[in-house]
Amino acid sequence: MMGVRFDPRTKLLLLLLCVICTMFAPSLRYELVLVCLIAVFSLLSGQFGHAFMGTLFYGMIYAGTLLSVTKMTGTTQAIFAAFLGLVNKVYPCGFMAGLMIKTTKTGEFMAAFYKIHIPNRIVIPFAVMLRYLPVVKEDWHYIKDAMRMRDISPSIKNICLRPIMVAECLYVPLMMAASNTADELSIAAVTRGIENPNPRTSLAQIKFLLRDLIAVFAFSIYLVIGLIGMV
Amino acid sequence: MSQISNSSSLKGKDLITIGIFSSIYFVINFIFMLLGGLHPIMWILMPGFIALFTGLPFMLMCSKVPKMGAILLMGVITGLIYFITGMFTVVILITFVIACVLGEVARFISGYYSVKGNIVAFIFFSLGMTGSPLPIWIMHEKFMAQISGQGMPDSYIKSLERLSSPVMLLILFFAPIIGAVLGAWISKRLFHKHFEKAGMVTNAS
Repeated sequence: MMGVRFDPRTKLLLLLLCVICTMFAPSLRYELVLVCLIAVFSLLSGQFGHAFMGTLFYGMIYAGTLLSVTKMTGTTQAIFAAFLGLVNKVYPCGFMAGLMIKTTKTGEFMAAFYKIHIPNRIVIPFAVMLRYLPVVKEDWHYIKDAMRMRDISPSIKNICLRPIMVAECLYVPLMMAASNTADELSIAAVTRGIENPNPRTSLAQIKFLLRDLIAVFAFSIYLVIGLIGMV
Repeated sequence: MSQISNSSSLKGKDLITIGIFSSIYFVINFIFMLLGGLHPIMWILMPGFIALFTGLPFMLMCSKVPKMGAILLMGVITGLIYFITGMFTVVILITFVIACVLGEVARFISGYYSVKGNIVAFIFFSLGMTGSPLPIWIMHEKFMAQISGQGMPDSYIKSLERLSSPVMLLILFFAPIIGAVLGAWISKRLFHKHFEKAGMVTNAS
């Protein structure tokens, strides 16, 4: 992976700043610049594809929002603008979180969490959850394929005609898979000493460097600008 | 396959189980959260819908981890993810904490293995989601000003204004209770039909 490596704690801190920024965002343009700022950070960490796609997608959302506010009327406007408004609120944080998950290994995450003294009981389920979210998506596709074979694919027609059947056929395999994975993963983790009471050691070296300071500084300044703009 | 360890504190295996079911809970939760943006009524009914559809993962987790702290951890982790996606408010934090603690108490009293106790715990847990639309009532003026400042269109705010009556507040709290009871009932049926046969759930009496 090319690019600068940032401390996982820096990324968490930046995420916190993003959350506060979107919470107080005074205007839509402010969010656009925020997304660009995250894209720059993404470029620095060597994630060119992520930066490009993210910005492009946000551009589309931005255009859609402007269009819905100015051009549409009545009910369509209410539905579109409200939905896009919610997306606008979630997007910058999601963009940042996606980058964080892409550029940080689970081991680094855990090391960082231990360094800021979060107890084991929260770190382990959280790490498992981050790791398992993409698996849910994968499972979903497999189940859909299997359902298509038995002619109960979750199409609009089937959802309307046989909603209970479709729901059951989606839910049960998903839960079965989750239940099995929980057993398998815990056996694997226990053999690797997850229940060891001693403090955890880590191969990943985590240090807070000058570049981390600069990144945090840049985002903080932007937050202050937003707060001033609000007043 | 699913042996339940006897010690009362959470072990690595329990923590991993909680993590996995929390991620499924979160996916379902998030889908309805996004749907809530379509119309204010969807937002107010959202806790009810979530309760209806998350019954299965919750009950499955309860039967796999019959220990203190399982519900609390699920709440904390879901809260953390809410924080990451920037949909976090102080109100939702408070309702989540209250709901999780009540759920833990319900399970503690019923001794962790009782299905009825788990259902009561699930009702409490589902009520935690009411913290998301609750600001409409308790911080009415400030909240309206804030969302109109963030570019929500007038028509959305107007229909929200119309919906913010005391009757809707009652509906907000009753929807998750009904949803949770239904969701628990569905999951009990599914347990019986599928999971007991596969030997995954042992104590679904």
